[in-house]
Amino acid sequence: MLSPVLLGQVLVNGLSLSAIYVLIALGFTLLFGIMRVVNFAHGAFAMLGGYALFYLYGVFKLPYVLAVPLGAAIVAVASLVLEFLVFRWFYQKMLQSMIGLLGLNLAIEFSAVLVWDVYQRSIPPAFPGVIRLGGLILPADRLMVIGIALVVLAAFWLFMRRTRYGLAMRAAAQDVEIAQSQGIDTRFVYRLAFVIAIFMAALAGGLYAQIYSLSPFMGDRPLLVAFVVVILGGMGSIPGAALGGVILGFTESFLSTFYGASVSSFVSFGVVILLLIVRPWGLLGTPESLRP
Amino acid sequence: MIRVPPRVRTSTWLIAACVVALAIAWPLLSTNRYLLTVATLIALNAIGASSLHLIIRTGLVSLAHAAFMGIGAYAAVLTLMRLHWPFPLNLLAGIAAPALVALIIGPILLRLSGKYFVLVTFLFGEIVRLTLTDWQSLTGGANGIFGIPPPMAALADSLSFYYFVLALAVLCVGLVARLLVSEFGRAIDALREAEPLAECSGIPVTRFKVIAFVIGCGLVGLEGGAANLSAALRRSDRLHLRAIAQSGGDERGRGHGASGGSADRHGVHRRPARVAERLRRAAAGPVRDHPTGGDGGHARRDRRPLGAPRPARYGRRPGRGGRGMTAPPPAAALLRIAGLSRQFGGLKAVNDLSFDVAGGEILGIIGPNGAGKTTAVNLISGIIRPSGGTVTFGGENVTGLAPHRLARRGLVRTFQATTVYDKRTVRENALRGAFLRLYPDFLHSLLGTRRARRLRAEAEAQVEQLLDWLGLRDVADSVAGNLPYGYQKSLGIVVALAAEPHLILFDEPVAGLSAAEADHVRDTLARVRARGITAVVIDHNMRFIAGLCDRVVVLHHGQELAQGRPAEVLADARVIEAYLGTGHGAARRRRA
Repeated sequence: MLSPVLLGQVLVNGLSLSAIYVLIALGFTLLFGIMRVVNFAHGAFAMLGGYALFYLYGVFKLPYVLAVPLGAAIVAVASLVLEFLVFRWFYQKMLQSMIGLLGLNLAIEFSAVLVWDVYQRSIPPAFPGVIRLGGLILPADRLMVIGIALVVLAAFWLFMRRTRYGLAMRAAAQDVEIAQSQGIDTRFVYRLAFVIAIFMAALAGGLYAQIYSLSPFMGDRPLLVAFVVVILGGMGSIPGAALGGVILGFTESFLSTFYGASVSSFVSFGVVILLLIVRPWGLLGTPESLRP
Repeated sequence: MIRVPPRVRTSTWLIAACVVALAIAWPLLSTNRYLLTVATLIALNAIGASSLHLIIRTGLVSLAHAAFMGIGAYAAVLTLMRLHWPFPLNLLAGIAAPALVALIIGPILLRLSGKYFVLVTFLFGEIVRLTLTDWQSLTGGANGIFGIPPPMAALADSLSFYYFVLALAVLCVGLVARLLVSEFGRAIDALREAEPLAECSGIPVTRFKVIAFVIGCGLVGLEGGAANLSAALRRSDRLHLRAIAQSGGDERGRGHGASGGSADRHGVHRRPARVAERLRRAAAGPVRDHPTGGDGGHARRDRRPLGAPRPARYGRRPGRGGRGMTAPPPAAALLRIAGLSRQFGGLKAVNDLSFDVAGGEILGIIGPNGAGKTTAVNLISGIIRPSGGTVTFGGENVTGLAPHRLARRGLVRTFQATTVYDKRTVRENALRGAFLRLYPDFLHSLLGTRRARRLRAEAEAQVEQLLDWLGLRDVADSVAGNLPYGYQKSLGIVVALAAEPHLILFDEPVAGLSAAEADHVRDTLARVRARGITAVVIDHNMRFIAGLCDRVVVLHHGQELAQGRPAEVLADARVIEAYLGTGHGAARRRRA
């Protein structure tokens, strides 16, 4: 049963899921870590990324490697309007942000229903067919997903670690007031973090829509994934998001292949709830300090 | 003259009456079917909104509310169709099932601070939704259950169904409103605004949150059950219910705009109690404490004198009155700390601390920054649990007990930071401190019986005396947050005193005060001692401590460095070294 071919596919599947999940979770954790907002609308932006890819690649037939990042970039820049109208009122206000962005999520989803329709569409695959590697049969599009995600993640890592603006963002994530008093323009950092987060969400959404299908409500699942991953890895922790994404991706791939999708969901949520009760700061986060 | 504004204004009653009258009368003027459906939905939503409002009033936003509605709906329908339960019984099942689930997960979840609670309930909602969808054999999956018969012939008609639902809605909204206005509701307000402060006044925070949570979830189950008595079951729509919650508060005009933000600021995440330990405590039986008949809290002038023989058993004698305090404990060694330790990872914040506090004395705890004073206070007052050692109060081992249990035994504290409920008046602050005196029990509080009113009147009288005694009568109606800082600190002491304690822990009572204000606080503390109340004062200010305390304990790096009378301790070379550095201690020894 556990033939190398099957294992190989489960592995690649797991990797591609992990890649997508890490992208979504990174954006989510960035918004939480720097601006302390819990972006309940994160899935909606992923969905918009899916529609962007649908048009750029499916309708306008742009080259794939151009369409993916371009679609995500368009969504990210266009969303600055929403940042100005909605998000900026909720920075550093966690509980209010949850409720407000929940509403935004609804608004975006149902606007999508109005603009498009509720029916599921599919984005044509980029690289149909398989690649044979040794004895393994690996789906080519999944490998492409992994490749794209790795490039984006590497770029993100370089940005955060090696550029001044990345440093500014990390500083703001640690302590906004100190960062401000050191001369960091937090308004700019917030907007930058927002654009990067939405870019990654939209990118992941496009890839996700290709693997599964596209509809105005497709973002619900990625939102849940973002939650699970971020809580697993630790809210506000970037390495935590990466770790959590990998864990969840492989777990899901494994469980849903051998036990079905419901079991896999059930297990993931169950584990996360247990974790929230026993160790709410996740695997790599820092504990909440007790208040006297 | 005590002026406490009535909790429910006449105008609110009038508006409510008008709304209900309109709701009853309008079908006489119009036979529009569509309007009838909408009105029925409105009535159903009112149940859901008011129940969610009850939960939100505790400061916790539950995103699982629709999941509980689903549980209730399925419970009501399944008991009707599979178990053939008759009509009202299946509706009761619809209330009981979510209430039971809430009772099970509540005590665990409600210990989490605000933001984690939201996340966990969100995920819990998803799990419930997934479970209900996937458990096809039970629930019919995504297609649902069809052919639900109307419960009674009388309710088959849309109009009578509307009136039925309307009656339920009025009952539910009325119940929630009554709850929020009662003493229980006031306690909920207190714990929402400043949970540690509320808990140290004796409010059993987690228990009250669970009660509110269970009732809220039960009521929304009622909505789910009732909603499905006349249609095929739909999968519960979580988005639908969240949108209601926003309008819920305004709809009834009673919500103070549940300050979710402040709930997050004040939410405390305590290390979750291990299940076994909680079971053990539960098995030991609930502690029901009542004040002794003679201990009417009006004028505590005749306390048990020092040196009186200690009673054989630290008594819990039943008596009249509210959920009051126990008998005064023996004078000698009122508080005994032995080997108290607390570790945070590798850091020993408090290490093997031992000292006694005799009844009626003022003990000072001093030490340089980072010595572990605040941790020690938090350990003794039950805010955090020690890693080792024992705390004995009045001969009883109280190690690790929650603050509200300690308050019942007569041990309270003041806080350094959140000293008062800053949006409430001085009088309301003090009344909240008197919770143990004025809270009858849940039923009495809900029904507003004569006993509840009597207890409240007693507490109000006592509070007036207290305010008078400490010179806050003039500002009794001012909002606490507007008072100068010195007054707020004094008010914090009043709140602690209102709980009629035997011992008060003062956490940095003069931090941030001018010399004059500090002198005022010192005088207040001396008068507190004159009343027979033992005091343990933690502070940096050497002069203040030296001028006030009978004995002093010096902490350094979590350990006791010296103990004794202030003059001796402050001249001790080791103590000087700890505060000022090594050179000075040696210099002192050379000079001596």
